[in-house]
Amino acid sequence: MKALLVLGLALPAWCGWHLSRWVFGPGAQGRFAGLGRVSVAFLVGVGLSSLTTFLWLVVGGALDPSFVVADSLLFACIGAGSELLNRKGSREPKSSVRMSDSARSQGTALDTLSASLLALGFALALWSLTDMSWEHLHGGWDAWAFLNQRARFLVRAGHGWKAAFGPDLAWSQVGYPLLLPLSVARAWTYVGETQAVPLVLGIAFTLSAAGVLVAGVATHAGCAAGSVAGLLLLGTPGFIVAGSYQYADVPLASLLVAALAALQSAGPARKPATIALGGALLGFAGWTKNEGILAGALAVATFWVLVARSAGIRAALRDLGWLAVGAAPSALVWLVFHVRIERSLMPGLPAGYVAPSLRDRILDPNRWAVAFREFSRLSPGMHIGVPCLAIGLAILLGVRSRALVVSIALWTGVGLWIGVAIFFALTPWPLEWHLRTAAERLALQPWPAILLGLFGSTRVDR
Amino acid sequence: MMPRQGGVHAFSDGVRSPHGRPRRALRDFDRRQAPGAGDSSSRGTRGGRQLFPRGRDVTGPGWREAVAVVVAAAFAVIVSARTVLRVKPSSPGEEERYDRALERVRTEVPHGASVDVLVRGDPTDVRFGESAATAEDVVLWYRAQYVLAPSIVRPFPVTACDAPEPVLPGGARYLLAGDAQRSGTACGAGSKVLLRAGGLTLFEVEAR
Repeated sequence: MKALLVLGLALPAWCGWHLSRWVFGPGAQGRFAGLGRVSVAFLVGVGLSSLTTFLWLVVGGALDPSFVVADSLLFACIGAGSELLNRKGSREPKSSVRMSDSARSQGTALDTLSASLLALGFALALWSLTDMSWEHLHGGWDAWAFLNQRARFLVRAGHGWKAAFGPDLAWSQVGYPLLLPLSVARAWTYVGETQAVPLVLGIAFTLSAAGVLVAGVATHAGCAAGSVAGLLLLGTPGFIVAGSYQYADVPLASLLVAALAALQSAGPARKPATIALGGALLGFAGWTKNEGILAGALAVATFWVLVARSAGIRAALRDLGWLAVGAAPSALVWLVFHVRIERSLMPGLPAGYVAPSLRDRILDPNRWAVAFREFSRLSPGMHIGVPCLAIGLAILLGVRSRALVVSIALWTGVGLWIGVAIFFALTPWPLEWHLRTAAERLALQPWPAILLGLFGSTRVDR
Repeated sequence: MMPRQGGVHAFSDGVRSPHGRPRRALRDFDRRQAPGAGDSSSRGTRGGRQLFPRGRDVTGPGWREAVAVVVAAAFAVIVSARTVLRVKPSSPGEEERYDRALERVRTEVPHGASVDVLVRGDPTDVRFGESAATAEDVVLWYRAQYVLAPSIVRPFPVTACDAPEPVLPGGARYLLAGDAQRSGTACGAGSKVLLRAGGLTLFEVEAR
């Protein structure tokens, strides 16, 4: 069973590995590039395989043994083809971010210290995640009530999988995109139904967010800054809890930070393949949760403005095209899902409940004050001062205001934070109830991106 | 030696030093290296071995980075220790017992048989957890959907809690019975949440 689970996860990740070289390829700086590459490979693999699984279902297939054969053959062929292309290529593609040979060849004591403490942080986080996951095998509320429930329908109902979206289950957020339920259902088709699958996926998504963050920061600001950013993320209590509860907010945060790391890696050369991979990761984020669409729109807008400012409108339009190429498969699948299977984006309001009109909600200053105050209070690690610690450490590491101003990750992360706070202010649901049940999770989504922007803007350490 | 090409600062104004850094950053760097700012070559030595080699002068004082990493690691260790050492429940809770009972229904009761999941409160009418007891009941109903998937558990309003007479909706494999009139003839504390199949009570819990 374990071998099949490994096979099911490893084959798409093998394909992702070949694509991840465009973000943390051989030319990338820093000893954490390998960690980032593994993380991106996992994220790309999960995203790709969820798309192909959905297409299989839509064309009339069911998640049965024939799927396992077709799926493994498909990814084995893609992986082998990419491998051959790589070997035939005369030169490895180089990341735009490079460092001198002499600097790369010598690791300092500080780098060793950073790597050792980071490894300790990862080990402790893995311990915490496993320990907490063991207590919540089915995950937290959103995981079992929505995501894993849908995965059970997809696997158990065979060709009748669309029953998961019937009116009887309208309470269960049937408008959620399907990346996670499909990933769980796909793995269950390989190994049989076991709670180990969503548990392992939840842990892997949590650690891959940290992996991408560390590598993304280290590429631009050095190993120490990368380690600090990663340790802060792994030390954020809500992030570990949400990861062990298998909430979709952590995968969304992971995909978003990976996309932003890719777009930052595109550098002044703005390599089309790297930008397209960033677009694909943004697409996967939108296919994970609808907030991912807002995050993607913010990332695209920020990227466009920054490129237009530095390279002109024509270049920005060209890059926008490459982003669209990468995001197109996920966007297409999202459209098919909402046109052919489930039209709603949010669950309907309960009978008998009358929400204040949109005008009243917009014009109520108290509502805005409550939404922003409570959302701030419930932001990641706020109760123990994690954001203040992050800012303090970034200043200690020599964060540069000029770099912050042109950081796509920071703008996107902060924009997403503000966007979600506005969403709460305008929610038709009772505000306090909605904040109490969702704000803490949603505030996690931009957190790794904000850390990437903050610590990626600290001074280069070589 | 390959020149640096920017990276995270790829979107700056393109005015760069020969080493690839924006000129303003270079000025900031120069200020840090000005007389009186401290000689970094003398920092960080331990027993003759240079912990932070002189080459690091190019980027500034390494002690700041070491302090930042140690502080961040200490923080992560403390938070992880608190998580791992928290008080854990020693025995399975009601939710787990309920899951097991539902799992028995799923695996042992033939499809097409009727199963009563008697839950106080009308799950279709409760979304915001007006009372803790009601919210718990609704969770039980949702949980039945999860465990019994892909069978659909339909809400079935009744007017009293005790032994309702279920009327099976067409095609339903399992049936949920709730109390649609909890505000009027609602079951008070002491009523029971039951899971019954084939005359056998699989799960029973006193409502609070």
